[in-house]
Amino acid sequence: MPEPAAVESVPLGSAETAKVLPFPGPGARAAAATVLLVGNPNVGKSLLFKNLTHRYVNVSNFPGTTVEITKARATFPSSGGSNREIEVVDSPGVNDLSPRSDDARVTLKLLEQNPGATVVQVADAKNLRRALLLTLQIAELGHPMVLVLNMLDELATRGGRIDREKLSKILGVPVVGTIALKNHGTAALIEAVKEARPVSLFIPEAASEEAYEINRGLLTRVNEILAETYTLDQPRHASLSVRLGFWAMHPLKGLAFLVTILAIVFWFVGLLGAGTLVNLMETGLFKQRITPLAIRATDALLPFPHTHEKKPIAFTFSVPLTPVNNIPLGTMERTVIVPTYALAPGAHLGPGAQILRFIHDFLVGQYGVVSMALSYAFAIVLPIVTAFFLLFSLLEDSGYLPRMAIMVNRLFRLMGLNGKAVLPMILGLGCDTMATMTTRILETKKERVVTTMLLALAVPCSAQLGVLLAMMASLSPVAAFAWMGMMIGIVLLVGSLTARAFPGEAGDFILEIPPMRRPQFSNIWRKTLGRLDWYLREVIPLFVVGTAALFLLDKIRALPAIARAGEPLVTGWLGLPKEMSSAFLIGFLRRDFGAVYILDAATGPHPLLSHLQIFVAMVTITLFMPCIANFLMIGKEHGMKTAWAMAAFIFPFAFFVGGLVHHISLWLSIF
Amino acid sequence: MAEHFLTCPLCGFEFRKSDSLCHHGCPLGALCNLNRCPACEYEFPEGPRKGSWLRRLLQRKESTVPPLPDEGLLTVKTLAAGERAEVLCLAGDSPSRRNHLAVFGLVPGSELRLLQRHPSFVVEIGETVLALDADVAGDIVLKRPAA
Repeated sequence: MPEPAAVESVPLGSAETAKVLPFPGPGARAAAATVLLVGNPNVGKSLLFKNLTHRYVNVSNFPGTTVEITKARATFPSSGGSNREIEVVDSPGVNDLSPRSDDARVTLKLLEQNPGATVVQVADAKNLRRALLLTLQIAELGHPMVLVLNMLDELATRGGRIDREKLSKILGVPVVGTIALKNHGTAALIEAVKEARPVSLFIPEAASEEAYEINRGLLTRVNEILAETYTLDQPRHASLSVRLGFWAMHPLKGLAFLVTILAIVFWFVGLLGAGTLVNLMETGLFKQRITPLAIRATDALLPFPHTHEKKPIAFTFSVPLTPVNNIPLGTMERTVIVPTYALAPGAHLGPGAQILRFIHDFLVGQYGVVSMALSYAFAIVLPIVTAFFLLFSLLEDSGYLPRMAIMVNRLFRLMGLNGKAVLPMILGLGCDTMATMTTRILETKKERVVTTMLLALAVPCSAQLGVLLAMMASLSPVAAFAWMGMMIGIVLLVGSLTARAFPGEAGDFILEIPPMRRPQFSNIWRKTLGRLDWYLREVIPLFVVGTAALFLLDKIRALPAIARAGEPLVTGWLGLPKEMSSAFLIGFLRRDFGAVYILDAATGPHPLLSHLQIFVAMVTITLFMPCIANFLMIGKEHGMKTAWAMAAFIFPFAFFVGGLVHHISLWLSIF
Repeated sequence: MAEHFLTCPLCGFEFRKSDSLCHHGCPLGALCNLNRCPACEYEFPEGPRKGSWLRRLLQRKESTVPPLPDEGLLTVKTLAAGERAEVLCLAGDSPSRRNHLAVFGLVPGSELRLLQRHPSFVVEIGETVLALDADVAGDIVLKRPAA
């Protein structure tokens, strides 16, 4: 049983790569103890990595999921009875070792700097041609090698057969068959690693130095090997998943498919996640149970003379049908204590009690860590983000996303992008910071920058989307459509302008379409949990810091001063009450946090905002940069200069558009 | 930090500016504005910045490469959906695009089948299914298989 040890992830940014590589690190242990998993994109390297080390890395049915190097130590039983510790390294998928893309550069460097390491090349058995092309390229570097033919089951359903023994004889390396998804063949692989040898096949010297010519030469050799080892029994009937795969990219059926998928995403994330689940967590769990409990506990530990207000809080559990219709299933009302309190009449607080009161307010006051930061992170953000990531993982594993890229390629071309940018854009609806990291799958710098820009500007992340949907509920459906139309319009306009202003060309749209697969529930669940873990680690510290900042500003009575300072902009230009300044102030930290603030002002028994004001505030806050983490991620991916330049455009632009909406609506007397 | 990438005009190799090693013993040192491609050793000046971003925003885009003549040439773009054909050659001036196609097995001599034309071109080469843009599709020159 391999025992997992430390897992380390090395980000793939160009600056970091040089710093972190080469490993193995301290003491340069016996080089043969390193196993490098190398292979074409989307062949199952990460799944095999998981099978070997029992460590989970992100796995999906989309080429280019692994954007960083992951390594873990695993102990394998050795023939002598003693255990052998091996370092297993997962690498990004490459089709070709010529250092054109970041991925190929990283993989090539990895291979060159670990000359003694054993290379386990993972191949999609269905696609032996491309795998062998890579094998022959790796062979030139002279590493001991094992060839793994993965997805043998899919090969069999397609009627293909590979003569493994013959292949092993031709190449001179062990050839193992596996089905990584079902963890078949892992033991045989561990055995074969010991037998690893350099490829002994003679490869004639290429006539030219150009990568394309070399690869052409190698492909001729590959075709000869294939002719001897690979057979395909042609007549095969199209299975349901194959037919589904074709429908999904058909001009008309594909469009219907796309609309259906979007409708399901909207219902599941927007209505069920942001409505029912948030209500359950926020009202049912936090407002009715956890916050009162936290207040009581704090009062018991930090007593100073005060009494909390009591309020009846009702919560209805319902299943949503459309944004305005739902089936109510039950209502529960509880009268509980709330954070607002009054000091005991005539009580004078000494310095000790003042300190107690300060800590009390910091924990459960109006801007308290429990009553605001945690309840917001867990009750509002968590349910929405979970719903989104669950569905996204499902789409990702099914192989639908590349087909979606086919459908939207033309549209994205208008913005100087191509269909490949659909993955970061859709992921942006979950978390913009995570999506900014995924822009690495795009080829040219121009595409990466334009996509990052659009993500930061106008793609609301699921946390913010949830709050915005709640706000829209207080407006008419027309306003919701107006908001959506505006955002799409802004994406197209700013995208096409940035594309023109930014030098360089968009890359070619050449995208491999993987087969549609039935997603594995365990994989989806694990992936969702992994993403949630990342997200919460990213989000909770920011929420606590943001709340603490608000709390301190409130304590030193700076909030009114800030409100006054923001008055010309917020009241004069946007036409909002001056209290909204703090919403925008906190929006600099996280725009969804700012949105919650606006939501508070927009709803309740005495709403502070009129319908037009809600709409203006909504448009402005949507266009804000997502959060500090996103800003830092942009800096990490594209340089701080780019990050500042984007911020310098985004924030004034957000206020500009917000004010424009305000003035135009006043002028046309809409609302 | 963002890296500055250069593309060699001769061989199309993309490399970091910091990898652009100077010829040994050159007295100019940092004053030299030539870049040297690490792959083919061709030396070239870094193209002048093509005006400001404002100028790029306002000017019309012009294509530098003349398109292939349309008439009588069989390409993926002119093939009918469902048809098979053999790849004759890959046109276009970008070696990186040619190589990008080659690693998917799309090289002269290989057989492909066009699955669909809209909304994007989708071709099948062996077990690989590839989606392509119209301009890439137009650069893949084909010949009909000898029936």
